[in-house]
Amino acid sequence: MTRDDDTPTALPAPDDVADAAEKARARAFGELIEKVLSGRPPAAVPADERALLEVATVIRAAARPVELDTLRTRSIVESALATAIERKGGGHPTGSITSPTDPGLRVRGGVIPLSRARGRRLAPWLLSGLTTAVAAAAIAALVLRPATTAPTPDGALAPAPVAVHLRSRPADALIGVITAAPTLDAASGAVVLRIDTIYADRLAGFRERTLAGTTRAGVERPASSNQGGRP
Amino acid sequence: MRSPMTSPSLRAGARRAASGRAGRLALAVLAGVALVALGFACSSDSDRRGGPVTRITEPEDAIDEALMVALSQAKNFHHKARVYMSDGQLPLATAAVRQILAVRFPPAAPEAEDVVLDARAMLAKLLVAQGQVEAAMSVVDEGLAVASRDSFFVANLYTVKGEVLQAQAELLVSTGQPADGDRAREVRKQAIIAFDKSIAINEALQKRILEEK
Repeated sequence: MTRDDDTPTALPAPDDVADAAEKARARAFGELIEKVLSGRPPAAVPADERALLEVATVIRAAARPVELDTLRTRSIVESALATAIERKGGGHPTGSITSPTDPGLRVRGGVIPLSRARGRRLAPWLLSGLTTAVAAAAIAALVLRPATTAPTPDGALAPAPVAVHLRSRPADALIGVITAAPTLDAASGAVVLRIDTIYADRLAGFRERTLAGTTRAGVERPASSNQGGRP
Repeated sequence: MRSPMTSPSLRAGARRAASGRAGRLALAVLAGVALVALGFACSSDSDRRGGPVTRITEPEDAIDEALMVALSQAKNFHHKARVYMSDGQLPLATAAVRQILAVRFPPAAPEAEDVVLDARAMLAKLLVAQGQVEAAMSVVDEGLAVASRDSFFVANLYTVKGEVLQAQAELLVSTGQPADGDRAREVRKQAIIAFDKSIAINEALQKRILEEK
């Protein structure tokens, strides 16, 4: 059925009996179609035969529906399932893609790249490990850091130094030399004056200590703070 | 063809997916715990010691309320005694001053010794005024025995001791007995020694205070 421009033979009539050459060409074209349909196309095909081959393939595809073989069908289904499971479950632990229904069957499609899958698996571990390490380092630094103020046995901070005029101290500098009183009444008056002086001085210091919060903050002491009150 | 939804291998895959979700949840919880620990570690100073950071121990030598209460009581007893004295009721005045000796001062307060010694001096004077010279001397000697340091109040007590001894010598002289005359001279010597002691203490203290200034 091929027609070569270099062939000198004329076209046979439609009702002519096929000669041996025509039968041989028909047999060769049939074998060619079988090879193509079975997936073994020849490396080179003449142009007129290629056109006929395409027409024959179209006619065959239109005449019968495509039926995949069982292995191919399973492969496609398993591939879809594997893709869905991989996306939902975070990847296969080993990184190899196998069928979820048949471990021996390798599937294609929907495959997460190995590097990405490994990164997604390791990210939570890296995050938790990093935060744990930071917390451990902070606690270690806290425990090992030298204390700036030595705590007392009961856990309180050491007392801050107190100014001299706020301390309990001898009253010599305040009273001075005590002169002998000429009379009992004078002695009584002098001793009352001394105790009043000592009391007033210590009361001023006591109030300064107890009201230190307001005075250190720059708030003026109320005018009434020196009148009455404790003790 | 086997149904994929009922396949044991598919169920295993689903279990793997669920296990992966649980693992990620556990890791997230672990990370949260680590962050909370870090937060606690950062807010550390107060919690580590188990108490508020503003709690500061009171210095032992600071003027406190106990000292002020004791001074207030001593002041009131002196005023009370003065009122009695102005009314001529020396025994009641003596009792009021004697109560100062029982006031409970803070143990380490230097003012306590000063105030009590001053009260003893006044008490001795009151007793002398009532003729109780021996009792006055006991009050003075007890005060000098417990004095822990030299002070103007100790010096004043030595002065009062000299006055008590002077009164004692006058009592001896007033009897008119020769032996008592010799005894009176001896007592006067002791009085002079007491006055000298008072003067020496005062001079030393004044010098020290001037140097400190």
